[in-house]
Amino acid sequence: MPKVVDREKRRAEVAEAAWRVVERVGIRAATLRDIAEEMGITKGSLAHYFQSKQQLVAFAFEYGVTRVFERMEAMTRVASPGVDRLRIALELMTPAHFDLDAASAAALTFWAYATDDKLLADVHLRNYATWRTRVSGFLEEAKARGQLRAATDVALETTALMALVDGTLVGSVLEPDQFTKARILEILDHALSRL
Amino acid sequence: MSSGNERAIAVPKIVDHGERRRIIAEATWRVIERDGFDRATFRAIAKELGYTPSVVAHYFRDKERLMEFAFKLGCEDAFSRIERDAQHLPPGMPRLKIALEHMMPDSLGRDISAKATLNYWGAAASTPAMVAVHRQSYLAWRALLRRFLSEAAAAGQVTAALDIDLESSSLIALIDGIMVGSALESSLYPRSVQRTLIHRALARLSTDYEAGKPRTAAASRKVKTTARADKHA
Repeated sequence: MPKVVDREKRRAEVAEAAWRVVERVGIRAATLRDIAEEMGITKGSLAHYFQSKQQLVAFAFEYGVTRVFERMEAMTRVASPGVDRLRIALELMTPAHFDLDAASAAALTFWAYATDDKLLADVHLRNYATWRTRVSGFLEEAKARGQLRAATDVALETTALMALVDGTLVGSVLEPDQFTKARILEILDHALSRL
Repeated sequence: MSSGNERAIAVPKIVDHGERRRIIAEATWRVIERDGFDRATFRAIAKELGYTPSVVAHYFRDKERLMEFAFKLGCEDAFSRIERDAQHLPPGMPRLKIALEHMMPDSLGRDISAKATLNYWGAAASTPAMVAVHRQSYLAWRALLRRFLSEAAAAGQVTAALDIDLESSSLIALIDGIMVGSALESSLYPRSVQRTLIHRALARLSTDYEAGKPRTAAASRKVKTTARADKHA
């Protein structure tokens, strides 16, 4: 049992190191060798945990999104149910609240990779299934508390908000002057004010 | 593919270079859609057209230049179709609706699929020249949206206090997000859902929408400033 724990801990350390390298050189340029060097281990030792960049990218994204969900859980628990929790959740998934500057560009490249890679596509589907559950859960709370129109279609509203959040990520990388952090928060506020 | 050899032999003396570049661009999207971005090499694109790779290399210095040209062309074509259709529609909301429908991933006239678009963006994320082409195309896209929103405001079709900048950015983000979803969670984004998402966003711009709002929602908005993610960090 301790062995399994060590292995998971080690993989988490690799993911952390991978994100530091991505922050420095970008996801496309980052190599397994760079990440091994960042950790002060050999490429051979790294291969004990990840055999390919693809596997490491898949894990690093699952790891990163899981950390965001943990933070979301902690922060929404202490907020008022419904729209307030929804706002916090959405904000945490936008570039306005990413820890790393390179995370948005990395996510955009990850999406591109995922269009043609089953492993990465499955990671994305899993992450987004969880994300969808969070958004629709907070919308249901809001609806139950009369914060939304009675006729609100929660499933459709969930899709609309998720699409909007993803679109702000695209904008933040490709039109950073139009999609500043402040602007992204205004876009979210605006969407929430029309629920 | 049977006509491939004939076309390779018939690289003619008199060539419409603009047309040839367009044919190559369109083939590039087809190859990306079918085989993936990394496999869309000059060789593969040439093969798709029955050309030799040197024909493609004659028109484009490298894959980046080809992608930039193809993206710009795809956007320009979409904008031309929007302008063409808008002429025959009343100003304001009807034109805005047709514009958004043309930019939907599953729009019939759209040359660049969602998958291809995501691959352009993903490559652009580490390529400043590709970002610049995207920016330029999106300035034109934004200008179209602003124009139709201004028309709608002038015609009293939308709330008077409409923030046109904010609305344009929100609509651009929505369409781009639909693009991401339709490429990566395609079962959740059939054409009907894409259309509904757009029509729903437009309905919320209309003058009637605010009037139907429940009081409780207005009340909940008052507390919004206390519920910021950064306040809890």
